[in-house]
Amino acid sequence: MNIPIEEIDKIIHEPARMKIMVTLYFVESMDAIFLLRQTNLTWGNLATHTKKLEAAGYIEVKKEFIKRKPHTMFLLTERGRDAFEAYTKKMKHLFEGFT
Amino acid sequence: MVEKTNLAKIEKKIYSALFNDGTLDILGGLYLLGLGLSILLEDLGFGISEEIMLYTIIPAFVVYFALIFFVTNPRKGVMKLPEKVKRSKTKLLTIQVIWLVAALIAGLYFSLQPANSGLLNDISVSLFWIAGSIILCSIAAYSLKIDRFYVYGLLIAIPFPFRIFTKKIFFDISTSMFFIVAIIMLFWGIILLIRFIKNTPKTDTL
Repeated sequence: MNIPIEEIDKIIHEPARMKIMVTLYFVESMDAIFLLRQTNLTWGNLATHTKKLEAAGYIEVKKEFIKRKPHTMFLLTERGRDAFEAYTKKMKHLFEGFT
Repeated sequence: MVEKTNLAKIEKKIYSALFNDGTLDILGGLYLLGLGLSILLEDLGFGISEEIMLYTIIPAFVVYFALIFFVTNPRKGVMKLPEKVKRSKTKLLTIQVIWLVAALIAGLYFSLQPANSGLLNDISVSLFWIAGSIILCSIAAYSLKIDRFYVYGLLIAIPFPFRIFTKKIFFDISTSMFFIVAIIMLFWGIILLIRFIKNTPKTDTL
């Protein structure tokens, strides 16, 4: 498969956003605190990059009450999950045979 | 530049974040302390091991739940596992519960046997507890993705055969091994808990 590097998903390709996508990929959802701990981003970075991912339709942000406390929950959308899987496949092909 | 990411490690880190705060180690250490104490009292001829175990197990769980509710959970945040993972964890938990129930029944059976029932009875009891320790700890290690629980299973299993084959040196050497394993687990649990508290200060939700 010949993949032009220009076709790599730039939304996911940025390291901070990739961290967020990877972390959310393995769970149903997680709140802002858990996501912050897992990605080691600052609150500012997390807010900026989650906004971009939400604008791209890759993640959904929901406010939920869990045990009577409000939580901001982040989850990957179907589109986000498909985009992430496509991105990982493209990256694997890109580095195939690279030594 | 593309960042090479090890997805398997990230997945493991996410799942173990729920449980890798030292509280399970502290619970295990306290439980083993109680077990060691009850075996020591039995070896010294007091014969009240079951009551001692109960009096030590209940505080161990009180400490564990207090740490979870007041110290670790407020710092962790909330994470919901996918359905597939929930189902596999439920299966593993079911296996552990079945094994625990079997252990309780077997423990009751063995405790009803007369003392000094013979080498075969001692070997059967030891084999049962060895298998139980290794199986329960291995299931916990696999489902929680915390590798040191495999080691704990082995450490807990080791004293049991010593109870048959060592001569009593003041008190049975295997009893002191329980205390050593308990102290190791408690010490490691406290270290992890302190590290967890330092690295995860309380944060207001967004």
